[in-house]
Amino acid sequence: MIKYEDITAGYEFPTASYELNSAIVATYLEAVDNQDNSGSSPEFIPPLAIAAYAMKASSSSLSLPPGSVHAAQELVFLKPVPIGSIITCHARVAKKVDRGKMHLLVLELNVFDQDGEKVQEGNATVILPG
Amino acid sequence: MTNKQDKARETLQLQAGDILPPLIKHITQKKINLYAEASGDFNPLHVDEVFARQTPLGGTIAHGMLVLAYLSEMVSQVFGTSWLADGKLSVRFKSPARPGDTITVNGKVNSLIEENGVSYASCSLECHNQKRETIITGEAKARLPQQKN
Repeated sequence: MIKYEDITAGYEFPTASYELNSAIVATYLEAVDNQDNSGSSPEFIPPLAIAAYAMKASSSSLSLPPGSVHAAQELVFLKPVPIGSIITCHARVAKKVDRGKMHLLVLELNVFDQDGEKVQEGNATVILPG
Repeated sequence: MTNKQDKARETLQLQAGDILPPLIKHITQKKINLYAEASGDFNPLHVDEVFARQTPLGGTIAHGMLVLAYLSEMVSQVFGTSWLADGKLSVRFKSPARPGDTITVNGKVNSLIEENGVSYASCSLECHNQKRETIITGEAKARLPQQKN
């Protein structure tokens, strides 16, 4: 687990792979109150579930102070991902700002499927308590 | 890759100014806890009511990505697999959503655009709670489902 104070722009988090099987997707869909995967073809993983796991790739190895909040998010969906796929998530610190009481992190996220094709990219802005 | 819903979307004729069908969701602590399990994000602001009460937020809040999933669901209902294959989402989290909140997600087609021979809809999105406080604002760009000639 790395602390916020110890990371710098360009830091790359350990790559993380997840198999998003039907049980995992079902739990996710129950949490977002969309049990029938409404709007999406039922054989595909909801893109925000993939994004959640991409975020997990960084949050599981980064210790942020309690009270940190998610301020902004950009996502680009590049390919439908069938349920049961193994995704590999890469996360790096694109920007770190410490100015007075303002502390801000921009995390860059890239997700690939088991064939090495990029399926999603994006970035997340997190504001930390002063 | 095409299912019945996608076939129906092939006849979809969107125009600038069209309103996307709104979506209404209810936030509960149970759903927040379940989302924490599904996503692995156990930030105490979301799951520890004692801790959260002592912060300026005054109580637990939903994960931003949980509420963002509602926006994606609404867009997905209109654009189907096209959204998964060629979609872009850019948002700002303006206020927290809390247990007990009723969240309404709204969207509007701002313009139809052509890029490299592919048609896209550019949409504005927002969601608010029962007090009309804005929770998320943002934009989506989604490829139009392939049109039948």
